[in-house]
Amino acid sequence: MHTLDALTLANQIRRRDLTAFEVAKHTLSRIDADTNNCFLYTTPETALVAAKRIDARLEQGDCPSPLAGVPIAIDDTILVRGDRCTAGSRMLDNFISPFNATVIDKILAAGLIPVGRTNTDEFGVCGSGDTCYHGITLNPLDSSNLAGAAAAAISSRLVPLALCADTLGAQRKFASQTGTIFLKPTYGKVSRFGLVPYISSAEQIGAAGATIGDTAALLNIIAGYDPKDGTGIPNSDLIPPEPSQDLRHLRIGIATDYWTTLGRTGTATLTETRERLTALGATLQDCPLPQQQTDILGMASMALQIIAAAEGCNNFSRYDGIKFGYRPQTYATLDDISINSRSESFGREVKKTILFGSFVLAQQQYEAYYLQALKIRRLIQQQLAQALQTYDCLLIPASTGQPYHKTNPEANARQCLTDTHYTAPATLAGYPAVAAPSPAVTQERCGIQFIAAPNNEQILFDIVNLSTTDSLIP
Amino acid sequence: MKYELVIGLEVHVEMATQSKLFCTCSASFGAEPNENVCPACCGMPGLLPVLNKKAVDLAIAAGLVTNCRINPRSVFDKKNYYYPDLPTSYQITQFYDPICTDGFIDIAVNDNKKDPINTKTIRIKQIHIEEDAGKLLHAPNSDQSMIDYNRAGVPLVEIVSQPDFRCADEAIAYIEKLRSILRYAGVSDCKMEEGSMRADVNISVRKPGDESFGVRSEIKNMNSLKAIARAIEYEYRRHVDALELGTEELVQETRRWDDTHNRSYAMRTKENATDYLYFPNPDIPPLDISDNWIASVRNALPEMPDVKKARYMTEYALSDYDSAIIAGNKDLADLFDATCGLHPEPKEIANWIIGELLALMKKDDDETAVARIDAPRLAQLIKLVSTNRINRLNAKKVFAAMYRENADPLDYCEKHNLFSESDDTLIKQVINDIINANPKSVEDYKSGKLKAKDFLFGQAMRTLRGNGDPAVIKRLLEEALG
Repeated sequence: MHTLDALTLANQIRRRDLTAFEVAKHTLSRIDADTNNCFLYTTPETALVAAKRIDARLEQGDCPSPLAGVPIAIDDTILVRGDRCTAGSRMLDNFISPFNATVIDKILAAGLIPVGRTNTDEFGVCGSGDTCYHGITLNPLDSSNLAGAAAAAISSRLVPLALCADTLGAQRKFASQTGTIFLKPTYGKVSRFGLVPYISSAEQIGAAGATIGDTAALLNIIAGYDPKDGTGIPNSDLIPPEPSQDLRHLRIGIATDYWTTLGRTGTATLTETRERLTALGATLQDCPLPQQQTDILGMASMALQIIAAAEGCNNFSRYDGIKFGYRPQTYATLDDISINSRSESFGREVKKTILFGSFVLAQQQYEAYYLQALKIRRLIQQQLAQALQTYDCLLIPASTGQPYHKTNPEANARQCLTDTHYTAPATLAGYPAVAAPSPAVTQERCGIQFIAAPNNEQILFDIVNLSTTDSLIP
Repeated sequence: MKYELVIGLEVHVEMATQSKLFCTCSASFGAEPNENVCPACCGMPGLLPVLNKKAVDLAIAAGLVTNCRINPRSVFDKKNYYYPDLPTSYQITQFYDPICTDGFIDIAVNDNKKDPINTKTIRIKQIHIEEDAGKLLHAPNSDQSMIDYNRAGVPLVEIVSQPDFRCADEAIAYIEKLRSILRYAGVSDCKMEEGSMRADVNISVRKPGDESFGVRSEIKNMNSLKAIARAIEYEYRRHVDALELGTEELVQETRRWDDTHNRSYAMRTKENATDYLYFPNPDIPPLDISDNWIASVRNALPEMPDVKKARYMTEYALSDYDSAIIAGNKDLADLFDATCGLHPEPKEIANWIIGELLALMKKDDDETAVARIDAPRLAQLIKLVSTNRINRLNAKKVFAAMYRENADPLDYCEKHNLFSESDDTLIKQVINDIINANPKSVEDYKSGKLKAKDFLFGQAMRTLRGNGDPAVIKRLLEEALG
């Protein structure tokens, strides 16, 4: 049953071919046997109670959602009432959340069964997969390399769905490297209430799954305006359940400059993807961005790094060892409490973020770095908006496809900067994007990524739904 | 050489909202420590600020009554610094684009009774919305400190003046005027003793005629007018001594006022000032304020003190001084207006309020005591006097009882036999007795010592135990003396 996609699994549970209880039990036992360190811990008691409750409801013919009874993994940056939530940091190793994130309330109301917490980069920084206090997670498709834990959990068929936050874009990158799907919604479509904050102006909780249909169904459940999030979009439209039959109505712009940077991998992946989409009736055109635009987009990664550092540095400043979180063993003064707790409990990449963020926000550098980054961000948004007036969506790589080796953190941190080049445009603009696997045409899986205009998740859904070949995961 | 004193004020006012600026916790004063606290108030991750619309209403009102421009778009920024009373280690404020800019208010620069009041215009640079911090409580005889987050997140407006004050009296008059109009507008109760109104005072001195300003010191967090006046005097002397006698080298710095020892202490200099790493708060969309919103706040404002004062002068012919005193204090004005509605003797009402009520309040040093006198009872008391049912001396006793014991004027007069004796026959008898008992005084009077009549009057009133109707005694006494 663990190889079923979420919608099929939910169907079988609804028809009572399977019970949510036995699915949850099976899932928990497979997680226990996991060797890739996808999960930090499981919550068997609450999961089994919730599963029983859903079974009882379904027996009465009361089905709260198309995903009722399906197990789901929760990233460790999303707060669940009464659960320990560490955000991958020693700082929050003892932190128990007193409240639920809005997405948690929504999935519980929809009858999904949270089974445990997946590993995460510390507070979502860097995106290399090796900055977590609790250790690294390995890629099930290639255990000498790293992967994001949510993507790895789906790739190794531990759970069919996961909720996790896309910060710098690592969820899309690792989806492409594990043969899974990650759907990053429009900024403001999903409430950030209860998400441990890092890049407040850009990060979004998204849906990870094995199929685009599963992620679309999950997005329908978690999306919607939340009065507790001031940046939410009122009246967010949800994705209609009926997918299109073909792609004849779609014009897809190929961001050629991005593909040529990837050499043979890029050319081969693009050729293969173009053939598939053309066969489905889509119109594909090269969308060579004018020189000036290329320069701006080329700066996207740097702009995002600056904004992320500024906001991260500020968001992490609440952790001072005083109210909650890690308290150092020894301190003589008030300042010692903060300095020692932060020195002893933050990891390398978080410390780098704090240093870099303090630098770019300091009065002397503010204009040269932070304000410039905001300017680049506005230009990127304008240029994406302009391109998306001509095209229904843009096709760009999801990553370089370069693997993250499990013993090389310094090189991995550098590689993240390069990979962010591909994810930063949609992140900075707040546009929806989906990363999907590409067949391994070479040694490297760069993956494919589609970017649509705000609130046009439907287009992404149609394209990936019709164009992805058979699952790449065993 | 005489130096010119230059003062600018930053006045912080806690707004009178039910809940905090960005969460639904109560913003009330006086709760048990950490009673009004939620996860957001203690800086936990995952909470997002949702702006309290009522606080924006009140900030707009503050801008309107200080003649500011209300900006169609303002932005919330984050101000970063580490201190345990600040739960997230950043304060949400408006640094780059505040809600109100470029206003002014007129203050009275002399307030003696005789001369007409002169005013001076003080320019206001800006008003911005921000959240308050919590409080650290230092346990006595211990090295422990506790944190109380009740105040964390309470909405404030900070009103920043231009450096337009030239003496302490002007600064005090400005704070009093602000307090008056902000109370009128319902922005705040402005209780300095509870910390809902506090001021940072910027002080420098320069030679008369200088265009540029001298080195500035800023005294933080002052919450008493007397202390502000003393601090300004102290700083003036310190600056002048530094320049004239070379007692020290002046540097731009933040200082703390110690009211017990009557001196200020340096806290930090500009060189080691904190860089607050200001940047726009991405969790709060820009605040857009429509003309309609401004109009609805403006329409809800009551008659403001300057308008009220002018009306008292034209409509009731009250003096400049009396009008200013009553109109300047919303509680007094409310009592005055309500009493006028019940009994049309405005001058008399004003005299009772200024002569008696204010004196008692000043004696008790209790601004809230206005509430002890209500309009119907005050009107009744004045009616008793004007119809000669009690004399003025007794009326003052009744008023004191109304103030101290919440007494009803009629009941009190009855209980204590304060009604005037105005029965001609009885009073005539008393006067005859007095005249017979004091032949010397009668003789004095008749020989031209008119003061002797006052003595006889006093004797008669004493015999009547103070309750005689003075007009009747006077008339009958004059008749009897011929």
